Parts: sequence; structure tokens; C-alpha cells
Amino acid sequence: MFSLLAFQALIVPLLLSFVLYFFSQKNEFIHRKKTPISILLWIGVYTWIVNFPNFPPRLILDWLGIVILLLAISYFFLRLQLFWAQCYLFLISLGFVVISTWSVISYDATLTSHWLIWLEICCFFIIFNFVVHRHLIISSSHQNISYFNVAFIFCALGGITIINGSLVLGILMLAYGFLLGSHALRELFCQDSHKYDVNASLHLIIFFYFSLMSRIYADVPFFIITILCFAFTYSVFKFPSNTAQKYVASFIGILLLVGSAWYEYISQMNTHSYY
Amino acid sequence: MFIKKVALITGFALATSSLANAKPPKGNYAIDSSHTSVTFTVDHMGYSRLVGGFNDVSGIINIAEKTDSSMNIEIKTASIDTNHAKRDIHLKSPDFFNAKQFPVIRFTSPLHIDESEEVVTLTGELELLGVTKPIELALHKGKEGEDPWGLYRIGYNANVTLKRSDYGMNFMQGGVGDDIAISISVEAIKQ
Repeated sequence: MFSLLAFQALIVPLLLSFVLYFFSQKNEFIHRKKTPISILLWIGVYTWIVNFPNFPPRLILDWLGIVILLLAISYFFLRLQLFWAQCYLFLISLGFVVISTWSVISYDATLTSHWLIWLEICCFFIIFNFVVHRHLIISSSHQNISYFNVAFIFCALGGITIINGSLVLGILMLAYGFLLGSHALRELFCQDSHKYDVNASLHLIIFFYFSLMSRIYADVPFFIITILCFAFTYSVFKFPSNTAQKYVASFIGILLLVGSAWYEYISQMNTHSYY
Repeated sequence: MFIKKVALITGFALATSSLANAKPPKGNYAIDSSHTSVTFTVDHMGYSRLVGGFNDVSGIINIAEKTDSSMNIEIKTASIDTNHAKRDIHLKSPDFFNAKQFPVIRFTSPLHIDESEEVVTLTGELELLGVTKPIELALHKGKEGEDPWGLYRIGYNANVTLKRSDYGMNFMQGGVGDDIAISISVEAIKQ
């Protein structure tokens, strides 16, 4: 069972990532659209992992696939000017918040009972919109993200989500991180990461959605999500030439993952594995 | 003398049979959560069956004059207890019971009981993970009557086996069995 999960979450996404890389070298269109294509590949892996989602969507995991599929398709076809792209992403983020939280707060949406979650959602919403809009403006001046850091932080979020309680959400995030594997390795070994990727903000949006899901449905501590968000933002905005600073976001991700695993090990020391 | 004896025996038999067939007094009966349990067993990788339960069960049993009696049980999903805190957290996650999205499991059923039968098959509806499906319970009627504190109690025990995949709970089919055997023991107090 666990070998199958590892196969689904790690090996297949990494293989798909290399296949995509191979074809993106041959075909210019695939090269330009490699980010939405890698997300469509993730949808395939997701469908396999969740054993075909329900349609119409009912569970939060069904919504996860639908929302990301629609997002990838829209990125495939839409070419918006900066202002309209910002408006579009604002609506997308609003949609994410509503879909992720509606099922939780619809039972009892009072401020007193859910003030913390309301506060967190507001913070997420404001920070997300600030970061994405800022990234869009920077992207338009042709800077790029660090794929190695992005892939690593997706994997760290996935690992922490698994440790905190949801195996499915966690392996879906790991699969996403591994689907960026070829970009990350190429960046690590070929040092040509400054090629402009017009769709890079898509990873930011998906990271925002994944972290919201982890916080709400797997109870990943707020401070971990916040630190990962900062690390992610850093890797999106800044790709320093200094090698020591280059992978600082990945180091933060590793530290948080190892820290969570260590805390889990200490707190569960006297109990047997429940699997 | 013989006729007198026969009349006595017949009278006793009629009286006891009418007692056995008697319905509980009509009215609402609130489920006594301290004497009610919903437990389940599920296959663990073929080694054995894991036992778990829900600690927060509430509801109402309505006994009506004719055939309108009903049973409504609500189970708080987050009260799942399998004697392992970390496993309970995992079971509450979207991988299994999705307690954040579906905080309550509901069972509703009409309560048509033929008191002469020892085991009655009851067809009710179970709402789990947002899916409502009919299920058939094998219901045993327990004791009814006043307890030492003057409260009128009724009791039922029921068993049912269902497939978790029917409700969209598909994850880890290889390790955690698909068939869930559920056992319900309910005590309710007349309001």
C-alpha cells in the first residue's frame, strides 16, 4: 500500500516531469505552456490518487481537483492585460476562500465561534492578493522564480500535512512538488533559471490554495503555514546570485519539515504506529 | 376445577402475550448518551479487526400511536475514538470521515416494530460524507420500563454492515477494509 502511494506521489510525477521537460525542449508551444501542462499532468495523478473524484463535486478533495483544473485551463487560453489579470486573480482567490471554508463555516458562521479562522482567512486573502499582484508586476518586467525553492516548499508543505494528519492532501502536494522536479534539477545543475516563465504565478496561486487546505482540513499550525508562505514569497520575488542565499527558502522548508517530524516522533514515542 | 385451571392458564398467557406486544407509551424519548454506544469494527490488513466508536451520540426516538414512530440519531464525527490519538486525527481528516466538512453522521428510520418478532429488520437512512443511502438494520428490542430512579427507559440493539466506498470513503482500501460492521446500542428516556 505504501509503496503504491510512494509510486503515485513521487516516482510517477517525477517521470512525468522529465517527459514534459523532454518535449518542451522539442516544441516551443509546450515550452511556453509547460506550467499549465504540468498542472494538467498533476490532475491525472490526482485522479489516480483519489480513485476518481466525485462529479458533481461533494467532498473538499473533489473541489480541489475541479478548481485547479479550471485554473490550469484558464491559464492555457487566457491572455489578459495586467489590470484584468489582477482582477481575475482577485476573483480566483475569493473563489478559493469560499470553496475551502464554506463547508466548515456554514454550520456555524458566527464571529465568536470562528474568529480565529476568519482572521486567518482575511490575512491569507490580503497577503495572497498583495503577493500575486506584486509578482505579476515583477513578472511583467521579466524576472523569474526559483523552481528549486518552489518545488521544495511544495514538498515541505506536503510532508508537514502528512505528519499533521491528512495523507491524501499531503501526497497530492508532494506530487505537485515532484512534478516541478525537472525544472528544479535543471536549475540546480544547468544554472539557467532566469528564463522567463509567463505562467509562474500559477504556482503561487496553487500554493495559496494548498496552504489554505492544509490549515483548515489538516490543522497544520498557523505559524508553520506563515513561515512557509514567507519562504515561498521570498523564492518567488528573489533569486539571488549568491549561492549561500539562493536556497535559503529550501533550507527553511527542510527545517520546518524536520522539526515537525521530530516533534511528532517525540510526542508519539510511546505509541505504536497505527497503520 | 379443570375449567377453572384452563381459564387461569389462558388468562395468564393472554396477559403476558399482550404485555410482550405492548408498545412503549407514546411520546418522545431522548437518547441517553451515557448508555448509548455506536461502535464499529473494520479489517486491518487482514490481520485482525480494529474496533472503534463514537463518543458523542444524541437523538430522539418518537413513539407514536400507530405507525408513525421514528428514530433519529446524530453522531458527532469528531468524537471518533479508536484508542489511538494520532489515528483518530487521521480518521477525522479528509482521507476518511472529513469531520470539518461533515461534522455529523445522521441515521433516521421509521420504527415499525412487530413486538412478537425477536429480531426486526428495520430500513432506515444513513447520511455519511454527504451521501444518504438506505440501510437495513437487524434490530433487537431490549428491556423497557421504569428504572430505579423513576425514569421510563426503552432500549434497542442493532447491527448493520456497510461498505465505506458506497459513501465515497475510498482511501487506503488495501490496508483498511471496505466492509464496516456497525453495532448500535441505544437507551432512551421518556421526556
